[in-house]
Amino acid sequence: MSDLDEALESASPGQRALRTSAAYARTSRAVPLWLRGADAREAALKVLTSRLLLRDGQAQQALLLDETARPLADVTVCADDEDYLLVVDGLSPADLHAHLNQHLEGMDVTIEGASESHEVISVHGPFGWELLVEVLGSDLMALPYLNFFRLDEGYALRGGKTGEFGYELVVHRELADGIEQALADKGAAFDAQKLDADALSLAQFEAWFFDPQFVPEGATPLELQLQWRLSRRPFVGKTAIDGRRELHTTQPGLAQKLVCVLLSDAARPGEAVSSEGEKVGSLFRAERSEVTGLWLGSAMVSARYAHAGLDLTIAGVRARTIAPPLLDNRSLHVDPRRHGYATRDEITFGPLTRHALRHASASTAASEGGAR
Amino acid sequence: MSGVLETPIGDDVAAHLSRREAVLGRVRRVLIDKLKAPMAPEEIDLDAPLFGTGIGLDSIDAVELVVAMEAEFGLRLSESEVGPWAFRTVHAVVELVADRIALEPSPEGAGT
Repeated sequence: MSDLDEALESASPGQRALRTSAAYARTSRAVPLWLRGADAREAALKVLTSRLLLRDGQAQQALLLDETARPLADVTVCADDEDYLLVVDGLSPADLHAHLNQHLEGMDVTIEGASESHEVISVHGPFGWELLVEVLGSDLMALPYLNFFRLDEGYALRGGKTGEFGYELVVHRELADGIEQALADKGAAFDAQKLDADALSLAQFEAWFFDPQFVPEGATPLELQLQWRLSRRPFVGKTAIDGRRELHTTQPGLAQKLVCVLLSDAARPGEAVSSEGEKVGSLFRAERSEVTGLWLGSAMVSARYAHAGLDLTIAGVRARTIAPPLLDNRSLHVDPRRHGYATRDEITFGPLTRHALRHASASTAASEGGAR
Repeated sequence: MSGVLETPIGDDVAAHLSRREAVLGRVRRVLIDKLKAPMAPEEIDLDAPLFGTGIGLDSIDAVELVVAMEAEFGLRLSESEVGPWAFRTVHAVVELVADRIALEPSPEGAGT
């Protein structure tokens, strides 16, 4: 058994379940909210960054920015008939309402908070879909990525952030206890575990999915490599985005990117990142991935260094830039039409860590800095 | 934001970055010209997802992407190389192609 396989075996039950079977969470981070009224679409287009080419039942990932283009929240926006259901991560209900009220003044739109009437329960894992089918019905097996179904219980949205099958259930608050109990009861057959917010945050980091809790000072979607979430139309923060683009064009040496790094050991956020003895950026976040045993980091570096395969040093700790995500998620190898948790041994899963990264990990551990 | 100003780059690092940047440029062109990604080249970030979200490719595009990459870089990608993880992001494609080009005995297809 390799060190990486041993890491999976010794990971906490929640992390192991999320990566190998099923897990669920009932956190307060996600805030549901509707935009309703004649100007609902115009309102969504003003405050959200994405193109919003949605039919009823479809969803899309977007951002809420402030006027300086700093990301405030990660938003999954759902076209709910003529209205928009937003599942917002990153702002409290009060701050979210304040932000929307500030920017939507004068529009014929109702901002209908749902955090008192609804709660968000999430389900994750390579067999999370199967657990969900057991609890809420077989129709959910056919739910495509970034689509949602309406249920008696509320909404089931497929849109995970961990690299695994992932669902967010926006359910009536009075039904939430029963649904959680059903997930626990039915989940026993799947070795399912309940996750806390920290466990989900780590899994999100391993998947290199944007987490609004971790935005470097001064970073915009350009530095975060989230330009795919930006429309070309005006929206809150667009002027600042355009200004930053112009700055990067005229002074490319100032441009920075957030990159993923593998570390040979723990390192402190804020430490200088160096290439061949020259500072090229700073470490922003470092976490030990429980399921691989590897130290994973994010660093803001000069944009020209934002490529995989560079050997770096961070306060004496060796590091290498990598192409995220860290994992070859088992969900990529599970087909709900053919597979099931009970017969999982019939599925050929490779190592949880991608081949190229196992190589990078070995190199990072073995060398004193690289040829590159 | 604390900017990192121009720093000298050693030859090995410069060559590595130059190769990667060249591959990225060609991958971006393939995504725009062959896969009709509705973005300008500089808007296609390395870490952008390719499928479902991000660049927004679908399962039909997956085959087209493999064919286009093979044609663009003069490579033959094996089934194991184009597994589910291989094309998750632009970065993963750049890494795959750059590593393959580095292993090719002939420089053909590795031009910038």
